[in-house]
Amino acid sequence: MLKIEHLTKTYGGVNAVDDLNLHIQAGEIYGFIGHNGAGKTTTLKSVVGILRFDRGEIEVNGISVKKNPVECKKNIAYIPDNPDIYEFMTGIQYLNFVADIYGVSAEDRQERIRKYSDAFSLTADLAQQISSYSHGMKQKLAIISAWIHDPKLIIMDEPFVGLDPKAAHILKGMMREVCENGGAIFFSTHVLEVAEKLCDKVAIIKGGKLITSGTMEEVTGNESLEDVFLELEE
Amino acid sequence: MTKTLLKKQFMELSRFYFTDSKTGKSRSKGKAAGIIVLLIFLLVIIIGLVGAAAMSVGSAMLEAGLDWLYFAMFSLTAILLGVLGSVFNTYHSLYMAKDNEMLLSMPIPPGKILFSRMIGVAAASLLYSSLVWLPAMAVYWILKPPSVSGVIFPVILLFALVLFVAVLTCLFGWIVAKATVKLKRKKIVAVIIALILMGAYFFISFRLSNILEYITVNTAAIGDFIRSWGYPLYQFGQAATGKVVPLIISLVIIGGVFALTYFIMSRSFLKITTTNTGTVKTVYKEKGYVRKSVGRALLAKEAKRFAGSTTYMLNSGLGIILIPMATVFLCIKSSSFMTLINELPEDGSWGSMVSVIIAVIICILCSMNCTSAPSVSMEGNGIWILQSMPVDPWDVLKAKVRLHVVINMVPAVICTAVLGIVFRESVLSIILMELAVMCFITGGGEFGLMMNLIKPNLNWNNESTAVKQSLSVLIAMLSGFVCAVIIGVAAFPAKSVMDMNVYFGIIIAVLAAVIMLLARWLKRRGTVIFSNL
Repeated sequence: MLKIEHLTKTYGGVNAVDDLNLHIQAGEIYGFIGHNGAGKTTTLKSVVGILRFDRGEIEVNGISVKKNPVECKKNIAYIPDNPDIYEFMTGIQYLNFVADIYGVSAEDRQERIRKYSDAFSLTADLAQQISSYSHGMKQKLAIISAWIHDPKLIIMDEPFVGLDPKAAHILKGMMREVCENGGAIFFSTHVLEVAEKLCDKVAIIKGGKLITSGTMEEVTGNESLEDVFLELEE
Repeated sequence: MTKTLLKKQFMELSRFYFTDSKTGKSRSKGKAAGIIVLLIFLLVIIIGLVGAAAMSVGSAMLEAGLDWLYFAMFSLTAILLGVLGSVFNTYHSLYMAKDNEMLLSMPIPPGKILFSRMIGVAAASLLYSSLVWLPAMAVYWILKPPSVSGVIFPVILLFALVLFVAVLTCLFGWIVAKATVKLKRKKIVAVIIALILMGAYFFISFRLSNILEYITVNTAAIGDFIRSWGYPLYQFGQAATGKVVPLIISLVIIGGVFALTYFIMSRSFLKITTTNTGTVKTVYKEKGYVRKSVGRALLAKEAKRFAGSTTYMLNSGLGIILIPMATVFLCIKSSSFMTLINELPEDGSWGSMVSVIIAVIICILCSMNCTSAPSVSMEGNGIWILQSMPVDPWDVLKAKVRLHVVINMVPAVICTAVLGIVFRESVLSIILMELAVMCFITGGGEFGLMMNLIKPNLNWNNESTAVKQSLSVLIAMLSGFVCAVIIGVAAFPAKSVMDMNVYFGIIIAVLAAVIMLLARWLKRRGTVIFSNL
């Protein structure tokens, strides 16, 4: 589903991401963990084509992000770490805008908006201006908009920040559902307990370099993810 | 603490000139100097125009020994321009700044936050007031070699002047804030109040020729009137000529007014900034939706952004109102206008210039409507949305130009046709006028967008920074103005060698070529820049 090969991104002579290799298969929830400034966001932004990288290749379903970005993005949905979405729109206007861009039919979008906004208890607020939304509501709207075109690969940067426990639980269910339907999830998080319980595979990055990756058992063995992470970070 | 807040305020103001918005790092000295040189070049053009006006008014007044009246008049004009330049942003920069919550959560007395913001408003209006005051000062020095105090005092008074501008604009912002603090539809009320103020301004502007004529004829009487009824203005004028006591009086009065305004506003600053009445609650009801194409969806998004921001509308869309206003004015005054044309020398050939004059007037007004020039900056932190979507950046850029074209084209095309008919132009002339105006609008939209791609500002606390304190907007508007004037001026020599319809044909061909070149740049270079922002 997602193939990252020799990804390198340099800022002012310093490698933010250094020769990173990762392969994510359909049906996997892949966690991406690392300290602040480790290169997680740079990697995620490179995958969704909003950050030009210096070396390497990224392919989604065999389509190169570099060579064919528009085609590649049709398969992806992205949720950034901070849901800065159009505050001049209402919630429903934003969802319809995203659906229009992805070419989602009127029937499909209506069904998905109903399903996910009901799940997040956001339906009644969809006619409100986004500027009046709380951080959590914006995050929920960003999640619904990411799911609206039924993407094959969902990239999320700290998706649980700002969500209440119920919404976080619903999101976990939605992530699992995507994978059961043949999609894949690649997300960064600092909440190691969530990563440990939710992820099929995990990658740990430090100073732009991949330290370890694999299934949860391969990475943690008999220890907790927190212990492994702290050991590797030292 | 006040020093720190002021430093932050000035950093925000100077950020554009000295910080690269893409990298967040300081610009190189060469780049910063380049921007400043360009800005100075544009300002010199405007200052030159004001200087010419000052020269004609000044010589008469100085001959009559009314030096103080000369400065009093130009101080009023500088205040008017300063107020007009910053009034639409003050409400937002005082009460709606993004960092209000952060600063109020810190142990900072709210009054100090307000003070730094008021000084920020004064600094922002310095640019506008200087455009009038500096040439007036220079012309005075040319006409009458000044003493040392005659050089220093007007410079000091410029800062006093902008402090007074800040008083007026901050009071306006405060009135809007007080009037809307309990309202749920703040934006609409703010727009209405701003439009009323704008209407008053244009009413005075239209009457300006009568006012100036009255001043010229009744200079002595006005001088006496101001001396007795406009005491502060009289003292201000006297101070600018180099007199010490009037300078002290002027500084005390302005300082006192500023302090009083600050005192009044600081009493309600915290209450206004922390009162949240919410918005009108509308419960969503599911209804059918007709799917839009990508192009239409992007255009609708641009239109929503434009309509959703009073700052954007008032600063980049004033021409929408001005074009019909000017059309109505010209229709009413059509007979006087034609009489004037017929009385001009080389009678006969001037009549053929009417179509060019109409087109130039419409083009000048259209150049005030540059929605594309801040459109990239307005994406702000939300730029990731378009960048991460499966859309060709060229479609995104086209939508930004289209909004500019749609907004201008509707009033411009209708008003050009109306004026063409009222001034009895031939059908061919009207068609050519329309084509020239359309080309001008399209080229202006593309040029504005190109400037914004070259000089974007995505990191702002207040959207007025993106709209108002933006070099791309300034360059786009001034370039549009200069281009329209060139079209008009070039017609004078052209009318002796060619028919005006042929002239229009040449202008259309040139503009069409410019449109194609700009479109090519936007498609090749602009899309790459946008993707990498």
